[in-house]
Amino acid sequence: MPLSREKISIIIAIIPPLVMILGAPLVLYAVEPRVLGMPFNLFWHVMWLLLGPAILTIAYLIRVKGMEGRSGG
Amino acid sequence: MEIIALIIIFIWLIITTIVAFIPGLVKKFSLEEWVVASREIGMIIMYFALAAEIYSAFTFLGLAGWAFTYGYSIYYALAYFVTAYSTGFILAKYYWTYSKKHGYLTQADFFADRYESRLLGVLVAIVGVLALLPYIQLQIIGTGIIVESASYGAIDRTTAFIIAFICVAIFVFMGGARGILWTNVLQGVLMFICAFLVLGVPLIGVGGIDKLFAKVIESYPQYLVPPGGKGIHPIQWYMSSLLLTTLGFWMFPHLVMRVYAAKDPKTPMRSCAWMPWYSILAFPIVLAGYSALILIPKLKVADMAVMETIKLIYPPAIVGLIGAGGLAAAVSTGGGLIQASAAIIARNWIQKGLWPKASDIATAWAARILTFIITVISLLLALYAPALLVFLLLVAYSFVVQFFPGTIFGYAWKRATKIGVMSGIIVGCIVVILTTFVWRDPLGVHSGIWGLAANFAVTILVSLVTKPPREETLKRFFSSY
Repeated sequence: MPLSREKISIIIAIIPPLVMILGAPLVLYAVEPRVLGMPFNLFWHVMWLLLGPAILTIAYLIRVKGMEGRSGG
Repeated sequence: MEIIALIIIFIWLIITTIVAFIPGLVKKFSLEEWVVASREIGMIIMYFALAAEIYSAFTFLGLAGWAFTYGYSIYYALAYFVTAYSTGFILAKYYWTYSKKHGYLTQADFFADRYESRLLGVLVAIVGVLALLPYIQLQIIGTGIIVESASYGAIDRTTAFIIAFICVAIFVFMGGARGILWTNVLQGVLMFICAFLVLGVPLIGVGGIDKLFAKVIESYPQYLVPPGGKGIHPIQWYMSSLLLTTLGFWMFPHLVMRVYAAKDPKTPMRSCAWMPWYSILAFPIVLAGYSALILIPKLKVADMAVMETIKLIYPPAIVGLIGAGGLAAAVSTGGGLIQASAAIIARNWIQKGLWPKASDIATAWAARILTFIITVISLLLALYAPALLVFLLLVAYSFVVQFFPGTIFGYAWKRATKIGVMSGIIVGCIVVILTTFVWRDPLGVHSGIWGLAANFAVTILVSLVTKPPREETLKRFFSSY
């Protein structure tokens, strides 16, 4: 059985917390290389502040389409 | 000329009070209006109002104070300013849909209805308010620090927070949820702008981000990696705190209530999806904390890092403006928390607890009166029981995260029972108290996570051996999609 849009959207939405929590031991000790003057572990967090909404927007679009499909049919 | 800073702050306080007051005059007063703004709030207001309510005095002062004292570990806050919105995005749809369908006004309403237990509703309402109280106190203390400092001491912190929170109590009384949401749009915009003015500290004060970190690496290298400046935040502390806040964030009763105020389920979902972009306001504040290490290493009160560093580079008018931004951060959160606490006590302690015959309008009036009572109690607590800002926030989190099993099982596991959820919450809170005050964070893992683990185990085991909810109740819930 294929995954419902609801489930796909939830799986996509869980990517940021999953990567940020489990990736911490790999990233948090890294000061080098510095990016835009920032230590790498700080840049990592700033990058996610920008990237997070992009991922959640994809999850949102998938989920909303599923919601409309249901109410339409 | 330093008085100009105080004048700017004071004008801002008056503007925000008036804006929040207006809905009380133009909208018909009712319980649903006062608690959830008649469920009419659209995207723009929801986004900025949620942002203003979420980002608080802790964001404006605490992040810098933390970076100044401990260094790297404050990145857990930058991280949950992303990850918590994944949780929010997923849950908001369920929160909104069930609340609309069954007429919930509070998080406790959901627990009481789904698990067929008024007692469970009361328990959730009591734990919820207990978790909000220290958080209100945090905003009060933050307001005092900001105004005293931004006015260059022209007004002392006690006078400052008493004046500000009398204004808050008045506008919450009149405007209710809609008043808070309206005024928080203004607060949210000002906070964002002012946070970026703080970027002047690393750029002008230290001479650029590159130079700032070159100096930190040279003088304080241990601050930039685990276990941090004071050596007390190993990697598992970061990971467990991040997990805790990711799961616990949307368990806070005031945020659940704001989701209920939306006009459709897409509004809170989209607000969550885009909120990390607003969270970028935390970045300049963290840099200001590191800058304080370089510019004023002898700073005594860490939470003053932002206020003291901006004074080094800006004239009083800008300091006043940033002070107004800090005040906005504290007041917008404080007002929302006071309104939510009053609503929960009126709805779930009184109308669905001690006095079941109370009409909706009597309950709404009770909530209004409670606004003043809660404000006074919080002011007294701030005066006579002040404590470190961030510590309180983390204890509050450990308590509210205990609602997580009951919430997700409520939507996803038919077999969960009232006794199971109730005993899970009670055991979870006891474990939190033990792992906070008796054995502090065993194995370096946050107390809230220990509580949550115990809670899940107890909720599942007890649910399996107790009587499941009635068929009709389950049908009502599991056919709503």
